[in-house]
Amino acid sequence: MLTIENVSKKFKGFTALADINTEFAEGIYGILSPNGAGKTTLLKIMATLLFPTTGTVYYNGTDIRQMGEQYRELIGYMPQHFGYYRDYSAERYLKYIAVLKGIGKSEAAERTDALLDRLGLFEVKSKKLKTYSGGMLQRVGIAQALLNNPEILILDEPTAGLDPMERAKFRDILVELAEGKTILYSTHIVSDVEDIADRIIMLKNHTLHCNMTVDELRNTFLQDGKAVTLEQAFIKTYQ
Amino acid sequence: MKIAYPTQKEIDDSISRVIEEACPARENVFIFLYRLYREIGFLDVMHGMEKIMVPLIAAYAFGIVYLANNVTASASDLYLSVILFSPLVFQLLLCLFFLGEQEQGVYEIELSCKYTMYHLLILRMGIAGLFSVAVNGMALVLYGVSQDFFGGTLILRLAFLAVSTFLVYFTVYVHLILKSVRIQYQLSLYFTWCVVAVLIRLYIPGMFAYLAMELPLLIHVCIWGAMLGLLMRLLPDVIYRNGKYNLNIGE
Repeated sequence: MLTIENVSKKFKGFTALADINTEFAEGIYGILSPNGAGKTTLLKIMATLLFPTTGTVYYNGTDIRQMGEQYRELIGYMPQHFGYYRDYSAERYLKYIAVLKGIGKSEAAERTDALLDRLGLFEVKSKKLKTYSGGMLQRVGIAQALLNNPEILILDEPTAGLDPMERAKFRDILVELAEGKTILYSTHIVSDVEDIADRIIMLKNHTLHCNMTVDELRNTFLQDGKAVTLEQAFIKTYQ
Repeated sequence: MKIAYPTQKEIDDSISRVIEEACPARENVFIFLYRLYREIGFLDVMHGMEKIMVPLIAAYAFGIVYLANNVTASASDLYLSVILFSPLVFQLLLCLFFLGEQEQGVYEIELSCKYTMYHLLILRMGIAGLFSVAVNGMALVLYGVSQDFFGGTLILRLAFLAVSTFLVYFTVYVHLILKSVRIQYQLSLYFTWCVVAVLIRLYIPGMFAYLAMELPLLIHVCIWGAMLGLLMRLLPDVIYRNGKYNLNIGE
């Protein structure tokens, strides 16, 4: 269980997040909001890339900053702009990240091959990353986040650059993985999370607007007595 | 059922076990770093650096051959060059590390791993430091031999001075990056270091001669001990990102 308590984040006078309080249990959380609402900042705090200006994030009651390595062993993170070493092959890159995740060499080799196979990159695993297309790179980004079989998976726009087939495949993988895990999935594409998310988080004006199930959210905006679609609910929220 | 009251030894053992479990003794930072180095491995610690190390050695070799054939320096110049060049390779390698992390954006993923880019940074500092001392040492020996400088304890004194200046620079550098990891600040530190050394040499030659050429070797050993002690206290702050700005290079 992740608990966010009174979390705010300021950058040189600009408030990116203001007094966020919420909880994440097991399940898939779709994080929806327009650009600049603070989604990425929130996810970076959850991934310990940033520390909050005020407030604390707890994992099962312990401050994640205090937990340090112990917490980072539990997470997989895919940033919005996935950075990589251009001269590395996918295999070399994943093995490098596996070492940083504290995975032993033989286990790293096994997991790397299994993930590359699952994401359709096994045949090209020895090619340099600079020769990969945007979609292929995105899949490498997803693979690195899954390397340590994380308990908490933090995904910031993971399907950007993927074609509809690849997005569908990615959703299937997430659903398979979701058992017993907390998945925070930030996206602009409402249909990406509509069918798979257990709950939807919305940020508005840098504060938490809602944390509710898809059905609860759809029922918030009734149209002719019927629940609206998630996309309509999203549009109405930010209108 | 009667339960026997525990003996004093059993009570003490239980208390020790609880304390050990709850408050594990903090590992010595140098032992921790050695274990980390063994776990990560040289190639992954230094990835990308091999490209710059080879040109650096080549540039040094070329510079030394050129200087040996064209410039005649005094022994005092040799001491000044030790002070100026001891941290140069170290600083260059670390600037390139930060530049690479920022340009390629890999730090975001590395910061979310069990071992972050700051674990890598500490290991790189150590390796870059050893590399820096080795390269400068070889350059000095080559130049000294070509100029017929070496006699008496000069080489030993130069070696001690090189290690002392490097450790002082290393400690100041760690202090700096706990405030900010900006590359401009790092380069400013090296620039200031050079300016101060040259100014002392030019305007307070007596002090320069004493500090660089006459300081007892025992004092050098004390400086090493003091700097290593300070580093032991500072390096965990780098690893755990306890700096003023949390060492967030993306912030």
